[in-house]
Amino acid sequence: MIAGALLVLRVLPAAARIVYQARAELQARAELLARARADLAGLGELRDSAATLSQDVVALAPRLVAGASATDAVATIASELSLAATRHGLKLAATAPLEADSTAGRLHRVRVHAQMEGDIRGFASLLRALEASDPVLVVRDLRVTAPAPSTDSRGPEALAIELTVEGWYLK
Amino acid sequence: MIRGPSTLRLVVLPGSIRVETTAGAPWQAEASFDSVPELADAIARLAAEAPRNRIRSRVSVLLERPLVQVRALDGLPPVRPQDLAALVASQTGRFFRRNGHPLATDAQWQGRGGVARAAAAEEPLLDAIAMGARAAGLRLETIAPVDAPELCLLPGGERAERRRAARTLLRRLAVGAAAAWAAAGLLFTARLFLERRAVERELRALQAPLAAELAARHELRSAELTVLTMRDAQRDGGVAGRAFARVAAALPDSSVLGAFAWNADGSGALSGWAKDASAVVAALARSQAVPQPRLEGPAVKETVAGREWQRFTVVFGPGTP
Repeated sequence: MIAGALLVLRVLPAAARIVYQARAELQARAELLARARADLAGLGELRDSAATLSQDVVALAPRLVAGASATDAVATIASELSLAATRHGLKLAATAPLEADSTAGRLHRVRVHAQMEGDIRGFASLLRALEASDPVLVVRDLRVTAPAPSTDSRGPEALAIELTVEGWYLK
Repeated sequence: MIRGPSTLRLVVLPGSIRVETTAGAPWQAEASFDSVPELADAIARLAAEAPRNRIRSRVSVLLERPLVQVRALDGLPPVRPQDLAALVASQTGRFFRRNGHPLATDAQWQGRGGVARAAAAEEPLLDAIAMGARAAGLRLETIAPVDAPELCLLPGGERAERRRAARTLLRRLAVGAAAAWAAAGLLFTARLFLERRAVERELRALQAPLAAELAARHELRSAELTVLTMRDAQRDGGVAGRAFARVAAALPDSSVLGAFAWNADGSGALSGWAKDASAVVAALARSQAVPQPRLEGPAVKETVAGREWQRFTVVFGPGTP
């Protein structure tokens, strides 16, 4: 009688609980397996996407700033700015790297602050040149200061230009 | 009741018995007996002569009066049908004649009028019948009065034996059911275990391809982010130049730009000199060269190069530079 009561009140409920848990675990594992199979079944689609994306990434190569480190990339941007300034009749006074710790995938951003001097025409053509440049350089901030108007307008126009340029390099 | 081809009917009369088949080929035999002990022998003898099939024959016994007493009882308390037989058995002396031998009784309610039908027979007679049937290898199905076949007058020993047999059968059925449930539980558990093992095995086998797939997806996401970021950068590339060009084109002739500041969020400021500072703001708003242009502070009159100017500062965009 006692053994029967123990069996019914203790052993059977405990066994039922264990079996129920085992069944729930099995269901969870089976669902995991089904998801894994579904994921693997989508591998073909993944390959197609990968092929397309790799073409896009390859096409991006010229638009990235050359260099494998932030220092290299800053130097490249400074060099590009110097070249563009010279080409458009501006004088590059100084460049300084700014902190830019943003990343997107394997892309890393660098920012360079530049100070230039020159006339409005040269500055406008510099902006247009940067817009169309490879690598892609984006002007994030811009400050142009002109001297006060005076009667003596025969001297060359000397705008003080400050701009922040950013580019992306692949690490 | 009498069913099946191997059932015999035994009718016991005072001093004689008659055995007949109730199905199959008709057969009938009679024998006489002088005393109750001879009754068992007589039954055994006649039953041995009866035609039988391979199944153990059953016998149904009918008792004629005066070997059995049958009464219609009135005025009994309204007990449940299953308690009525016990009620009558407890008061045999009240309802039946007794001649020194114990009586076996049975009773059933007749309709809803509170009348019960009861019967009683002497235990030695019933024991002899049971013994004779057992000796002949017959299975005793029932003993009932001829005129009340629904009543059952099996002897006490036979009834006890049947109760024991029923209990044994019930116990065996219970054990069988428990065993069946246990087997089902074991089978279910074993199935769970086997399925779990198969699932785990397959998951282990898929681990390497899944890791590779995960890495590929990670790479893809990274590449996708790279492409999107560069597209955004290209899109934003000319924004500053266009803003500057729009401002330069929108300024009225009678104005000079002294300073221009622009931020990537579209905000900024410009200052300079104009004949009419409010005309500068109006021109900027009309041409939509910059968003939300407004004067910052009052325009200040200045004389520059001998001419009267208004020095102004215009801010634009959601924030200030």
